[in-house]
Amino acid sequence: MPDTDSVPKTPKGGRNLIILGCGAILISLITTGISLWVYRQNDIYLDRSRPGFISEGETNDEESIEKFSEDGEIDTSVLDQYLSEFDYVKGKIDGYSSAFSGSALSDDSLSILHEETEPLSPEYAP
Amino acid sequence: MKRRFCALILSAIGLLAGPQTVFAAELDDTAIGSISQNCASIKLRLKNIQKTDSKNRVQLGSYYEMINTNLMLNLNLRLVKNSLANAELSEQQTSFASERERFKTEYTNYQRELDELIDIDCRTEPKDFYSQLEKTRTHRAKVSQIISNMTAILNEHRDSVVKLRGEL
Repeated sequence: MPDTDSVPKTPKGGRNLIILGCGAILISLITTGISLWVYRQNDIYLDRSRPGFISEGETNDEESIEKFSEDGEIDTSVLDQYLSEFDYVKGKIDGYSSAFSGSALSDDSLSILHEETEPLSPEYAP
Repeated sequence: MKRRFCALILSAIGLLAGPQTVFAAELDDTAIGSISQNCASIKLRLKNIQKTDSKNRVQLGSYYEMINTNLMLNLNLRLVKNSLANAELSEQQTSFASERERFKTEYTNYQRELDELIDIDCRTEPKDFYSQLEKTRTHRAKVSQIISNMTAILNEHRDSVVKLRGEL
């Protein structure tokens, strides 16, 4: 007859620890699931192109200008300096004038063909 | 009165139904076939556009921030401190800041539509895909319009500063 008393029992503390671990994982899975569900159902959307969401290597933050001081006199030379800094940044902005043009999403650009030779939406024609 | 009311209702229905009717008439079998056939390459192209757009948005956003905070705002503060407050320049700075906020919001809306577009299986759902493509184009056009508005404000601002310089 086997001696059942000699079989080592799992200590109660150890079993509770396992339950605690499993419970924590379960709760985190449930809350993550709920968060994802809320994110998908509602109109919540992260702007992933903000500097924090894009890797360092993908951005080019080398350009910077001297901050125009809010203190001091105002004369023609000060305004000349202001215009010079303004024109520098404005030039950079002008370089992106066609950054969001319609041509990128045009039918031609996406190789969407039509029966007629004319493009479907003239405003998106390249 | 009744006639006018009916005409108003009919025109509202026309406005609501209009784009869909146009869309249904314009998407032909060749287009449906080419969307299904070129689905993989279309998706790849869209992902590349998404990546380029994100970079452009970051760069443009930082230049807008730079010109608004470091230059336009500080010039106005300096003018006020010198008792030379200029209503035109202040108004331009306020308009620019407000357009910048619109740019952020509209860009986010556009990206959401583009995300949804990429998620659609164009191989099996070409019609839905094209419908979403049209929506994405509308939002992209809004972003582009805001960029044009901001450039126009900057041009006005420059002219105003040159005018002020002449008056000093």
